[in-house]
Amino acid sequence: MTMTDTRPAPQDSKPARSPGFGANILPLAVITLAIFAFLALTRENFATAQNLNSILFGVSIDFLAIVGFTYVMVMREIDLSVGSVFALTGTLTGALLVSGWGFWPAAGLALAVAAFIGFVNGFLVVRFNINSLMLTIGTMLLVRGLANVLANGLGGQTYPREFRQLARTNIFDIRLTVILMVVLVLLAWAFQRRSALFRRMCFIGENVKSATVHGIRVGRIRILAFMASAMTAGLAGIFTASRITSADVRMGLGLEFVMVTAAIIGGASLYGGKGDLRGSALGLLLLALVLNGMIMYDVEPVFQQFVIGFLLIVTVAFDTVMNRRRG
Amino acid sequence: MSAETPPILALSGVSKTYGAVRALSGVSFAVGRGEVHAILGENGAGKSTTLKIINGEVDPDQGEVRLSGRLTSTAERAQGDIAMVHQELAVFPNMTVAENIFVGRMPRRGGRIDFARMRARAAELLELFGLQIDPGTILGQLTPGQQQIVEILRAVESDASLLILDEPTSGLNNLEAETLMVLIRRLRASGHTILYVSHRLHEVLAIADHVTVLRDGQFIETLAAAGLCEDDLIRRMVGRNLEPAATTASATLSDAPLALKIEGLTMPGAFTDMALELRRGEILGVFGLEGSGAEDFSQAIFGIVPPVSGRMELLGKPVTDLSPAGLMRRGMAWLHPNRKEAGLYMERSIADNIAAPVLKQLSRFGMVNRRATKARAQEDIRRFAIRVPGPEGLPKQLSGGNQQKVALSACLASQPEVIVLNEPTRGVDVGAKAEMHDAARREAAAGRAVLVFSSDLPELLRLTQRILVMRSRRLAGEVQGTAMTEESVMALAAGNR
Repeated sequence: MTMTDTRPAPQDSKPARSPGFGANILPLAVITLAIFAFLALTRENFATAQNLNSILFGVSIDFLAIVGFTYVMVMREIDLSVGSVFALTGTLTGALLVSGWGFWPAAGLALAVAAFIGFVNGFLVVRFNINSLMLTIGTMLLVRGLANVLANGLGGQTYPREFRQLARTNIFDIRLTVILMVVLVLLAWAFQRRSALFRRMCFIGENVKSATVHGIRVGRIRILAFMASAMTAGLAGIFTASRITSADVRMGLGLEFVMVTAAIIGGASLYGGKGDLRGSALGLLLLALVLNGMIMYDVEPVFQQFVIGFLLIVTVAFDTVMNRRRG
Repeated sequence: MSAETPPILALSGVSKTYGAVRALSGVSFAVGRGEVHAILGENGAGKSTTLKIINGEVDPDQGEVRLSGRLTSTAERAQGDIAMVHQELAVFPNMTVAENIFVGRMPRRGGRIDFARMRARAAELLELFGLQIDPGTILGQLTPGQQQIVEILRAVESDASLLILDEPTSGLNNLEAETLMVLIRRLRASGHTILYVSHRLHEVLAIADHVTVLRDGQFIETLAAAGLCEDDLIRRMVGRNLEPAATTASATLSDAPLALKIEGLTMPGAFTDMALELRRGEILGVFGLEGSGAEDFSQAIFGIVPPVSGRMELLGKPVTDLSPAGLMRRGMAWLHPNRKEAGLYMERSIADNIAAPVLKQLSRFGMVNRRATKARAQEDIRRFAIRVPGPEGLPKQLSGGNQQKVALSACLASQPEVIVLNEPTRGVDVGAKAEMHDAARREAAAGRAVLVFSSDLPELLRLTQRILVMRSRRLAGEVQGTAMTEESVMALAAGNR
């Protein structure tokens, strides 16, 4: 019954992988496919190249923002400022470009600002042990205020042409962000399966006291995760600003709630210790399909918020029930 | 089966199976009215299941439970005349002591709670048991031990004729445990029947009239406690003799190199001017009653709550980075006093648990070698005789003793030179206890330095060669060799001077 032999005993057939992820990818993929198939069969406008491309494009940009967000959740924290940071970074990049900066310095500075916000979030959580839910609601409002000031200053001015082209960059006829998403999903798979860092994050998420006693540098990793969350949100914001071509105060509004829902659907938990970027991507895709399907069925757009709220409650309730069961 | 007074509680042929695990098979015993009856057994022997069946929390598969001769159903017992105090605290820390005692049964007057009467009755109860606590105190301000006593008073106030106490002293210091013993004797004198479960054998012998021993889910024996000694009980619990109590000779230790040296360590409000010298190959104990500062001191030397001033030298070099991560890198490890709180990841595999402190050694370029992780877990499972299906098992599926072994494996995974063990055997059975002690001795024999913080004084006396005693947040003194007795340590700890 030892593991070294080539045919391991059945109860040991799973490799020594971390159970922090991978639990519900398959059922999730099946459900997503089912929704896809349903829409494709019932609505003829759905399965057009244009519609599918637009869904995938939207998901690929939001996906960038959920990268860091998912890993913050793994550590039993949450970063609700992502939507605002997303808006600020995108709008700031645009504003700098409008005032004559080059693209790289502008994007670089905007991302540095995002990183700083993430650092402040992480530092306050670590140093003063502030509940990250409440803290990042504060940051969310504060950063949203800054983004709105910038957007109002621009007054609907269109961004320079080169910047507008960024999101439309294609490589072999495929959107740059879609390629980025595929690459990141592959990297995440390896990261979650093999890396020591991801395990440390799971340990911290499951029991921070144990992690401390085991010599894991909890504070450092937490701050890094919050910085990563803000920076990936910022990156997505830059692409989004380019896509929408002009400053808009509604940019990224409510994004944080889409993220929480998608991440939990994808295997993360408010109670920490798990999370899977592949699942988060599927979660985003599933939500995008649902929202697109509503449009296909001529449901009033104002109803979308209702549906997101409903799904958020359902997933959080499910997550809580599952957590109680494992406890 | 006497015709006049049937026993207050009688089990016959009680069995219970959980999935494939047979928790109890055909357990039968009786508890007489007005006695203190102890149930003993190793972890996993079936004590908890027995208590839960008696208390109506669990439905037995077979067998019957009679109360005062009357056959009862599980639902009846859940409603009925039985009060049980569980091992874990179930209190309301933001409410007063009085409110905690009268939860759900507050005296009323015209539809409102009669606070005056509640306070008066609470004061009476507290007084009766010699506790000098104001019933209006917010519970959270009391020590865990005092909270436990309040919880027991709640059960007493419910006026049940059968009181079940499951490990009531595991969270208490010795003085509080003494108070509890007095309380139990008074309860017995006033006609209560008490079913008592504890791992502390000397307590059982001091308090119980009868002892029922369970082993592997089976009833072994009920015997009168009078005239028994601890070894009699241990033999019946494990079916063998354990642990020669002899301590290793300490003569040559003074030449061994210093592993840990602490001078003038101070944290205002927690402890003042603490010092110690720990040599390689030595097992040094630190003892203090609750509130003595011993717990704070232990946390401070591992940098969990860093001290304000003082000097620490680890393996001959001054400590500069006083954080758990920094100290671990320098060869120290620390076992948390409460495995339910820290030291384990209940939802992650045993292999992951043991790898947690040594992920770096098990990784290359930041990627974990999973084969090595698994191999290491298998080795530790063998070395510490952890009873588990395999390295993929989860700690939450294990008994307390086996969980503690996993926590210890993780603690020792980094092959530390200085090992700090906090309450290494709290709430584990005698078998696991002996194995934990063996592990500590093995480490010392291999030239490592072991520092043990324990509130279990007999354990320290048996395991260590020297004991530092703390009192009033200072070092009260040190005992070693033949001067090391329960009396001498308690004299220092309780300050009978």
